[in-house]
Amino acid sequence: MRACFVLSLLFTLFLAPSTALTGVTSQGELGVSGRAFLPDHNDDSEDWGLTVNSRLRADLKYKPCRARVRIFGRVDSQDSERSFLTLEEAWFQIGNRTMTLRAGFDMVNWTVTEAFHPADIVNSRNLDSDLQNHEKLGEPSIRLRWRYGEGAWVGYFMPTFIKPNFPSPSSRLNFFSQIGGATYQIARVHEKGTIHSDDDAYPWIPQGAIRWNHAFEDLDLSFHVVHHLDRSLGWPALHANTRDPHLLFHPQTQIGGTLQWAFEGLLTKVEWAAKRTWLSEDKKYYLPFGHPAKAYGLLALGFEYSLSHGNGSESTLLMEGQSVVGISRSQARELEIFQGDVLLAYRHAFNDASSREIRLSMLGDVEYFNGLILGAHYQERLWDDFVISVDLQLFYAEKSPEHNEPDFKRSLSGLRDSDYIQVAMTRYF
Amino acid sequence: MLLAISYHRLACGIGALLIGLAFSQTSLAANVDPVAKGLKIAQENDIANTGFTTDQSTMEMTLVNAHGDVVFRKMKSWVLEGAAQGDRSLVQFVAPADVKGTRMLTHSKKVGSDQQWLYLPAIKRVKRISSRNRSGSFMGSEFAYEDLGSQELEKYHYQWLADEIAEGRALWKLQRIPVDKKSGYSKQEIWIDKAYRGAIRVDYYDQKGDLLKTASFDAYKQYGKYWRPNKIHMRNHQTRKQSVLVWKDRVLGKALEVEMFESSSLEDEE
Repeated sequence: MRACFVLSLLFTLFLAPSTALTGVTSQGELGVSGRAFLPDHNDDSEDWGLTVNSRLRADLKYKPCRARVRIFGRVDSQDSERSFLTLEEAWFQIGNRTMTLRAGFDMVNWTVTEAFHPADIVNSRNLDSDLQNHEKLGEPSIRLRWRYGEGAWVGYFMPTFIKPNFPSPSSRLNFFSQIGGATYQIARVHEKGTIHSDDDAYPWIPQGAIRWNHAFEDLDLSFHVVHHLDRSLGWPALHANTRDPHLLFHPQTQIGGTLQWAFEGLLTKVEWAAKRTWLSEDKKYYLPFGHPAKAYGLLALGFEYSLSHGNGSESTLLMEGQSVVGISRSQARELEIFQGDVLLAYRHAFNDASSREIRLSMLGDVEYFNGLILGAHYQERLWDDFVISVDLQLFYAEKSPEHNEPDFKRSLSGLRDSDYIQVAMTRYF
Repeated sequence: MLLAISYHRLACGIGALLIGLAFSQTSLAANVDPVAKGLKIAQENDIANTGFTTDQSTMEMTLVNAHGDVVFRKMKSWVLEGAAQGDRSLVQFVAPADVKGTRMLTHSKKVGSDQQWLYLPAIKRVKRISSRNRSGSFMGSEFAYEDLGSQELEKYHYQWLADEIAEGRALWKLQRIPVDKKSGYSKQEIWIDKAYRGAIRVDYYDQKGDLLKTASFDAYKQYGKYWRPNKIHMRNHQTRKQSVLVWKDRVLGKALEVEMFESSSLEDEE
């Protein structure tokens, strides 16, 4: 892993000066960050870490063709399983302004909100990253896009399943600890209802998505239909013979959409999704918590209000909420971490030469009042190419339930007492 | 004696002439409606600057703080002239590197709020943004968004103040008051070059009525029948900060694809 990362870094650093080549451009970032948690006096977990991360990107444009490679990698000095390398993008595209055909690893962003993203489900995530905006893993896909005026239709064919990257058992941000904290194996439910472990499963899993978006004056709308192997958190299962813990991923159909409406200084944002999960009766696996809900919905609503000050600085107030609909509250807690949560945030951009910015946020469960995340973020540019940032996260949550407790719930309890401070410096080039 | 009489007559004559001129000016000024004249000048300038169809350039901005520290910004800009509606503009940031590739699309409206979108390449997200806060600083500079946005005629109330001559150039001095109550300015005083049909200086007054900033327009260059300034030096009198914006490789009238100014094209990344 580390060797691959270093090789990729060197490759792109060599490529960076080649921007003089016709049609080739490159850019990237190289960062160092240190993170320290409130000690938990547990020898099995890492209370601090020092990481080096880099994102490298190269573009080739030669009409009517385009190609891009974008790699992201991280090396952690303490938690080797946190070291991570992914192809965020590696695609080739042919087409014009109206129609394009793209093939390769792609990153898709369908969200309009800042903390809750029910509509943004195409890519698998690195779950050992920012809880509200997980890093995305590149999705192997073929994309056909037809653009017209202020709108576009886009269709994706995804031939395989990229499993999410889970936090290691020693990670302090391992919110899976509430269901055992073990290293899980992956298993998938196939369309015919059989379950296969990731090791013996055939990689060919045809999946698809269609999305339409259009800008009407002050209103942006989008709708989508996705049929895929659900890439979210997985459902706990035990192998009937070995009793090995697995996370089970189900086929799922989602219809959803987004709305952004700018009125005066207020931006209203809506994201929604209606999900239908295809369950399995395969007896090879035992589901200690039963089946997940077959159908349910997610609704996220957000408001953003900005105001400028006399000195050119700008303040933004943000309020977002998400709720699970169509199932009991108990079932909702089994499926989603944010099943009845609200985010309140304040951002102050100084709009000065250093691009100084402060963000304060509070995200809490307003249904059971059993979890709260307080966040503070400061960043500023040093010289022209460096950005330094400081993050503070405080977690307040109810105590974790015991392993295999029959009333399994997803909540922030796995993050209880995982308060941390992180300082990062990144050079952009 | 004759000389003395002549001097006296001359003095009387000049005095009479000056008094006469003063009266005639007064009566002329009394006949002129400064609001109507201001609007007429603004309309004529608007017509004179209409028809350029497109404007594309590279913009370099130098920010200087009160201590003399200097930082640079660079961006590419494309403008598509609007007919019934306002202009459409696309700005792509080039430097500093952390915002490289970020794109801002603006559909200006002659009446009401502009429509704006921001494309963030790192996360590949098209974000609708509120354009109501036009008084915010542009990229940390002394320029506000409203200084650089499309200067549609309908966005101001005009008043003619004077005809002046400075450095041998004939100028109109106008006052313009933003229609938008959320503007960062109570008023602007603008000196317009009669030959260039463009501003050479603008004094911006804050909402308290105090002088806030002065913009000096320089390096005028002719593109066909249109004159454009290729340098604006903005001085903030209250913070003593300065910003200099320079246009390079400017081309007017070159055919651009209309599609690049549509929000659905933002993720295409020029």
